[in-house]
Amino acid sequence: MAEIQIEEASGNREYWLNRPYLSEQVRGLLDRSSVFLVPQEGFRGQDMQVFPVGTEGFFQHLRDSLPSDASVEIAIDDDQYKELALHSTLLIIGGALVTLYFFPVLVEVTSEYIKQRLLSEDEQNATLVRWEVTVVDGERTRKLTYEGPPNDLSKKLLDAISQSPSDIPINPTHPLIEEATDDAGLS
Amino acid sequence: MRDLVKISRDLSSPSLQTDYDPILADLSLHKTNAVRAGDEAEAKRIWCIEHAAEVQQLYHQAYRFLQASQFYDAWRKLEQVELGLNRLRRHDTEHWSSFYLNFIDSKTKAIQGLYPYKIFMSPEFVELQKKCNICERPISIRNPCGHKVGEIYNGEYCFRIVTDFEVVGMAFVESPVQKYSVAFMADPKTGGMVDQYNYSTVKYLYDRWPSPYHDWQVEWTKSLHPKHLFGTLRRNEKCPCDSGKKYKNCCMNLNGIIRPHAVFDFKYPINPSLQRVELSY
Repeated sequence: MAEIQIEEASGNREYWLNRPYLSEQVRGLLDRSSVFLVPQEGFRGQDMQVFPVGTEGFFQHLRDSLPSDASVEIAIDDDQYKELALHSTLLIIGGALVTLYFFPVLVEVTSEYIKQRLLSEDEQNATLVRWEVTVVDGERTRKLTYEGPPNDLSKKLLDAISQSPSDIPINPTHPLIEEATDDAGLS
Repeated sequence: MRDLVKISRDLSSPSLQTDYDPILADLSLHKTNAVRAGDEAEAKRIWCIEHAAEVQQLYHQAYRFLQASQFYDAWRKLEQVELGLNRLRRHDTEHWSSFYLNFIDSKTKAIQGLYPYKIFMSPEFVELQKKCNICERPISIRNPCGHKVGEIYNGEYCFRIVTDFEVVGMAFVESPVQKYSVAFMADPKTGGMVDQYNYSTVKYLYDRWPSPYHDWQVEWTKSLHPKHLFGTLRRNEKCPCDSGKKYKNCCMNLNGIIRPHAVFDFKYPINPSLQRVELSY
């Protein structure tokens, strides 16, 4: 049974642009992108940023498959890139942040990637997928978390974003953003 | 060196007597020749045949381990069969039926389902550095080598080699990626592995399975099992039906214990002396 959660997100675009472990070069790349992958921070208390195993292939798939006007990036410097292997049959896809405009095509391309990765019908039936995607719509940021069968992902996410109530208050500024902004002298 | 037609004919009628070492050696030579000739498509086609031969060989090894009651060894071979089939699936549809890969796929899953293993150890680690097995280049997220995991290049399957990693945890899971990581007990004196599992359902099968290509089916149902099979049952103990409830709140007032029940359908005659079912708990 597929589950989907929508919440007003704390990890908005500025949050990621101001992460202290990013170089200025990567910040610039992220700032110009329409879609970027985001790491998991502080897994099991570790002071490192990690991406789910297989993110390398997912990132290349997005670069190859998304329209040419959708610039795709990843919120980490090359030499800091690490993957976390949990070895469970739950297939965790790298979290993404995307503008509302590119959200539908990102969902379709991600769904296609999962189908290619889980080739057999048995594998598709036996595997659950988890994917977090943060959608930026002007000042508003929503995080959608999907966990369920691979085949339901596309429809559930597209339905969810269209049904998401519009009166949810915009998330107040995250304290970490203020902190990072101050540190960077950007405020 | 035998030609590919002869090799394909051998793989189309596999048996426990099939000798895979010369087959694999010949295939390796054919593949080397194709690579030298720059024929990428032919090298890939030979990889598919080679991989199918390896899957058959692993399946036969699993069968032999079952016959020798080496259940965990058989389990590990079956996992390798499963992984081999998964690698092959995206590249080869031509030989799936003729090389009995559909049959092997179906029997592998069915045998795995008979095993009593439920809890597995799952390592959690951070992969700090990886390289490509095709070009040996370290993986760089923004400057990829261009070789995609799962594709075939020069007759070789592409994967990543983890060259540096850090273990961050170990979890107990019910659905592992690596099926070999079965949780076993340890002998408190020697620290050696103790196999605490009951393999009666697997034994029931292999006592009645004369070759790895004799067909059978299994259907899982639930049925009442006599209570005396479960020893002394106390009201407040966990119910042996594995519901997680106390016995008094579960099967105590039933005429038996509800347990999974495997119904075998052998597609060939079996020895009447083996038709009696013996299951111990």
